[in-house]
Amino acid sequence: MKIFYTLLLYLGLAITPLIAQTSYTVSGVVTSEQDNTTLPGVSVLIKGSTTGTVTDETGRYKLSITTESATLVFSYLGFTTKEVSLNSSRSEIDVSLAPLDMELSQVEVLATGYQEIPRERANGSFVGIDKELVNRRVSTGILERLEDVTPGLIFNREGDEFEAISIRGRSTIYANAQPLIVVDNFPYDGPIENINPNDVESMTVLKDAAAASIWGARAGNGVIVITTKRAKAGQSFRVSFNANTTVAEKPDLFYNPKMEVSSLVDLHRELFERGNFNSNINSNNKPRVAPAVEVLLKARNGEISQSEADQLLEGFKSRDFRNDLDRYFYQPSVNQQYALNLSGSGNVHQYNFALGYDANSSEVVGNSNNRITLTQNNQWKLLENRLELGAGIYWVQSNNNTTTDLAQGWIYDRMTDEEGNPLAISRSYSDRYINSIEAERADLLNWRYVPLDEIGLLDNRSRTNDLRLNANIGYQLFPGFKAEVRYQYWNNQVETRNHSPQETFFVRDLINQFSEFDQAGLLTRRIPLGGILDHSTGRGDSHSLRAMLSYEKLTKTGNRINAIGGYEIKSLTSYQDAMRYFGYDDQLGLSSAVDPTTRFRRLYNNALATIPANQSHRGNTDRFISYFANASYQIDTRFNFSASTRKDQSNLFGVNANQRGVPLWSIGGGYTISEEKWYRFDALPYLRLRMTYGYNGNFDNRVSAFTTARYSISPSSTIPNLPIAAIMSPPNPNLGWEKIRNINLGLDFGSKNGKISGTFEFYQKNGEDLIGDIEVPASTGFFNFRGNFANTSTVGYDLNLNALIIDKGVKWRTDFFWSFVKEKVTRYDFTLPPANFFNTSGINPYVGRPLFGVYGYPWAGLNPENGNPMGFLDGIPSEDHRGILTSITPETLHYAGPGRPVHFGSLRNTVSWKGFEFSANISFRLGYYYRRSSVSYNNILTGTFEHADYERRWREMGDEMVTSVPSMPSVPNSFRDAFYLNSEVLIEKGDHIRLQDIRLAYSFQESGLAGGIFRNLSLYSYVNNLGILWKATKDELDPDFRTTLPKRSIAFGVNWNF
Amino acid sequence: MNQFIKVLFVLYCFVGISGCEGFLDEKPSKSLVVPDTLEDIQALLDGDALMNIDAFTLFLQSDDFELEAPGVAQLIDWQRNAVFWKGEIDSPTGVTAEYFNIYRKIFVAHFAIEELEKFSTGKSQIKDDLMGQALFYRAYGYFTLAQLFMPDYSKGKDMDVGILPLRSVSQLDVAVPLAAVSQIYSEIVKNLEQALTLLPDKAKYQTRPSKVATHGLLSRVNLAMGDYDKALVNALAALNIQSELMDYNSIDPVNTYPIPFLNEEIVFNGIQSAYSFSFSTNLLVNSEIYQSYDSMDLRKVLYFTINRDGLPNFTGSYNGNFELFSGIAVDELILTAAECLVRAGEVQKGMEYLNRLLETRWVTGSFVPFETSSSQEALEIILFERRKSLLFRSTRWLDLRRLSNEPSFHKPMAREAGGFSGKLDLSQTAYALKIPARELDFEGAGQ
Repeated sequence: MKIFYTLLLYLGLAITPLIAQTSYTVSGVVTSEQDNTTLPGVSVLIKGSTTGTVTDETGRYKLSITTESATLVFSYLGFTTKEVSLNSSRSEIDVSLAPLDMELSQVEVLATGYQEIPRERANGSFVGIDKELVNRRVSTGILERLEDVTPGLIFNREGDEFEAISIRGRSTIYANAQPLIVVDNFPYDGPIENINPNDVESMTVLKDAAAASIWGARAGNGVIVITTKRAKAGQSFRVSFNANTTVAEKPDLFYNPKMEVSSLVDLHRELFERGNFNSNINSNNKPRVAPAVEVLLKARNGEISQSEADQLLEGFKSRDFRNDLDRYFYQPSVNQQYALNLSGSGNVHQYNFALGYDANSSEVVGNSNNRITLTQNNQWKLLENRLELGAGIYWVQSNNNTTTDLAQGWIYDRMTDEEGNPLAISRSYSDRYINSIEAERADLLNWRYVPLDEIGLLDNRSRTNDLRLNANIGYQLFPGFKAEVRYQYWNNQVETRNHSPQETFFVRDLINQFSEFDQAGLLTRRIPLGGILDHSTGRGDSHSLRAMLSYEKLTKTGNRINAIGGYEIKSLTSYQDAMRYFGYDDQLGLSSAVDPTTRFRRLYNNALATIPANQSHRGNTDRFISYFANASYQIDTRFNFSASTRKDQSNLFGVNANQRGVPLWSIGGGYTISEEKWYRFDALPYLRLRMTYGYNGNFDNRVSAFTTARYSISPSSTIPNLPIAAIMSPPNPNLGWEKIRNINLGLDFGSKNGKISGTFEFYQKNGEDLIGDIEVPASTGFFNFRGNFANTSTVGYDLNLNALIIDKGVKWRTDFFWSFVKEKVTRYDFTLPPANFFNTSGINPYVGRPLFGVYGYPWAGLNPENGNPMGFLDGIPSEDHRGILTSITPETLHYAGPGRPVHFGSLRNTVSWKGFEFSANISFRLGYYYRRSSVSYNNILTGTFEHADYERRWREMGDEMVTSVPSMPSVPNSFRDAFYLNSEVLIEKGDHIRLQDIRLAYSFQESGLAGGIFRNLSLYSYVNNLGILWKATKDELDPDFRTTLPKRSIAFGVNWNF
Repeated sequence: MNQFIKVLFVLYCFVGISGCEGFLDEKPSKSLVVPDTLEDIQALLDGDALMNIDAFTLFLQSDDFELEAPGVAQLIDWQRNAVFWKGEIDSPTGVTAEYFNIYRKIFVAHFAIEELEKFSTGKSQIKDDLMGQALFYRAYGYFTLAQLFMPDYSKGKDMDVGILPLRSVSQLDVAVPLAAVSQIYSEIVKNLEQALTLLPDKAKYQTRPSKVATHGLLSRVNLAMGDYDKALVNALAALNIQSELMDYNSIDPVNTYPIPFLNEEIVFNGIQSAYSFSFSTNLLVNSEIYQSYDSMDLRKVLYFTINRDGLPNFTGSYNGNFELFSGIAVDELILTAAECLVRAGEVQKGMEYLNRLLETRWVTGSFVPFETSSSQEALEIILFERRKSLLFRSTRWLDLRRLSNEPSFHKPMAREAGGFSGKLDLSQTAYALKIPARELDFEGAGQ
């Protein structure tokens, strides 16, 4: 069946229209004047007629001429049009075209990871990020460089860490929400941090069905295609060097609004007097209690006088642990980046070699990471270009070194005394316990925690080696018909050695915990003296093989057929092993064994416990087989039709075999209106309309058709080392894949001289049979059940405008995009109970509303009598919070609006004059809401350092006029807390405009100062995260960064091209 | 033609590679399985973090403990509701762990039973053992649910109202009837009686159900049903297999939690789900009980620690740890046997059982055996010693309920602390916790 399928595919695509003609032929190669690269897709027309052709992918054209004398017109977007007169004696005419403008000289070629398509022939929705835009930002990572320059793509700044990027909204609920990342033709298995932005030539973001369906079941969230640097044919030897340094400010520890330290001290006193700390004070576990509590306890026990206690407490009020953290633990971080690139080409050989080094110091003192990247890429063209060979090596080593963990303490602890001498603070146990055990047992290890002494003690290193080997071979079987095999081997090895020497509190504490004294007072240490080494290794290996046939044919009438088809097979395996060594001596390389199964009595609480052994193993295998085909047919330069299909199969766990595969497809069409003879609209010499329709897919590898269980084994379980299994998921025999139906309508336009160009795209994405949760009675043994229960619909548009506003001595360019995305759940087989509308993921599916909606309990103000928050029960203001929460329905909840921006975009202005170039990016996000945090009294009542709203709480009658923060209750009340913290009154509008960054550069041209040493030298500076220009809310926090603010940074760099 | 052959050749090469059968059958994660072997089922039933954990609410509703304002302040809402007998233990998120965890245990039992039924190959000892274990857990789960969410058996047995969802398969999307009290109890007894025919006398590990554990559990169920004759039969049957007692004189009282972990008295190891309150120093021992121990009674030494406020905390868990024990142990079986013997008229024999136990609980040589010929007095002594031995074990709630039917042993309860108060007279009301509100949101409650 497979064979038949494949055969049919290839044969079906290989139909060649045959058109006979009698005449003489002219042929030749069209190249770019700038760098002699061949130009594919150049229109070659006989002047005054519609007869013509287009150059093939090697830049060759061939045209039959019937008239004796004619003039050929060579035209190509971004190049000057050239006319060449013919006479019958010349049959071989090579032409080179001059670029219109240096900046616009690049032919925009979009990479899909399978093929490269010129922009003019692409029907789908692509965003190309060229080298210049890739390099505009300065960063260690590559993905950041897509931010605020890619229409339809948004960085999610709050919420799910596995959904850092959304392309055109979220078309899944619980399945994988990350876009697929493709690096050099294959899905990338490694951590994206391993890609050095300096090695990247361009990126393409694939947004719709036609663009992405070639990636099938993994394309539902869009695809980001990263292409690394290659030498161009005919390019002379080049060396380029890029170096920069970025300095970022220290984090602002006071960014989160918190209550006054003095209020906390008072609170601790109040709670102490009410006896709330008694349980901790008396606890057999000897837990640490706040310093104020220790002081008050001493006063209660008569060890100090009440006035001494009062004085000490007053002293606490002026302290702030954050100041010490800022002073001793944080530093401005510095990132340095160096990249060297060598490339060139000979007759048959093109090569590229790059070396990169990044050295970053962390915001915490003593911690750093670095990355070395080494890449080499070779391409050969042999046998008159019929045989293509390629080989590439990409090697990355990254190192992460941690010597310091952040200090932990109470907010009014301090790290030094008045003279600046390091002080001990309580970390795990009460001061009383440590004092008494120290007096009693002198042979224990020092059990004090001195934050400043811990700085630099750790020796935690993790090293990642990432190797990617690529090989490809292509052979042209006969003109236009090519067979190609690509193979990639990927290997990633991570070794983590976390060595905590005996001097660290962590080790001293653990050794002391497992120290025992016998009747005679003799000490036995169950954990040997020395450090603790946590060692883990991980390894991932993948093999990917793609076999592909491609066919390309330009008919004599200028029609073009392109087809590819093939299959892909992939296997990815990974494993991880972890082990802990005790009594480790780094000098001698010695360690000792402990007994991990016996239950010893912990010294501080006399409870039985086993020594934490930290031994684990993990292993995964992912396998895929996919078949794909893609074809396009272009009728002269006006019409273009395309179609693609793909079928994916995988070893997804417990999916019934017949449901493993999913066929996905797309069709598309393009119509270049401006190529019509009747088109006379001179102001817009380029106008193209295109449309695509089709399906992408997605999957959730956490669900299964069968009941699944996970095994574990532990020396510390009740029966040591007895294998134990726990149910992971209930059976779901009807499980299917998610499908996303995509419609995309696009309009591309360009004005005269390319001054204004742009794209407008309208799309609709319908998620069908999405995996959703329905709640089930807890009596099933589950709270919810995952299955294909949901549909979503997303409509939106992306407008992208590029304008060259002034093009004289001073050049002013504006790039602007505006994306609109409106998401709606259109089917959900279950109405979730209201409590689910406040979960931390922000996902709360409700038919007719967006997936991410912001809801609140309707608010009836504070009760003037007692400051209790009030909601509505049966339409009447009430403070029966339990009643309100249990009786409310999703319909009666207040719906504020979407939780994710409906409008977003950016405006980038670039002004250049002589060698100077200045650009600034302003981004905006509009039409969304968020819930700000406030004070949780359940936390307050345990003495937690809480939100600043505590200071604005209701205290006496009348306060309800000026505040919405409830009064402090006397006992914890989860319903009251839950009502207030999720009430309507805390919802804010998220709309804002921010100045994201500014870049300033100066370039020396060859003709400039030091002729000969360089072709081009530029100096640049980049300032990032400048801040908010406008926001709708009065809330002091940045709507998008409500826990930590992105740090402002400034970078300086030089880019040197020889 | 030449080209056509080339194409065919290339196609052949390409397609040839894809013929790897079984390539997609590799499982994606080493530790993840579709459990279908006997070993897998045993591993699931050995998951003691689920299977051997029992509800804390059984204890919270009892009178084994006292608390003052700080203790009340430390309670989570639902715990406070249990402590003051408010009739529900819901939480704002709608998740009632005490209810859910038991049904999760029942799911595993159903799943195991269904998988075992797929093994058609004749009789196997391992298969029987596993089937017996699964039936035990199913019964254990329903028994705890019945104690929490259903009225006492004698008050509820004639009520024809469906209360608890009675599931009998692991499948999620099946309509489930609500079962009445008598239905649930007959289901429990049926499962346990079947388990008796399948399980070995003793299990390899004390965390696994065995015949002795099943007799023990059945005797508890019989007590709850007021069937003292059967309770006696089962208690004796269990003691026939395992009756070894620890001598409390040999336990070192120096340790905070002195009772040895997995000690020889344990018939089936069970733990009450632990919350910070369950080992809080605010959780005080019922002072009446605490005062009642003789100074030569080692239970006083081993079970309690006086905290810094001078008040007694319980530290005598049979789990040898801060986690409270809720499993079945030999001392409980002896006490049950003693009580049932007396109820059956064999007062002397009953007292012998009691004295045999207490002998090991007192300082060697100091124990004076209890003697009486009055069955009422004998019962009083035995029931009081039962409280003193099984303190903080979760069995008190069961005893409170069944004894509320006997005026001479019934006592109304009341609590007042930290601004909260509650009263419960079990003889007056058919008290039971409400099924979580969330369950009622599903049509027909049981779906």
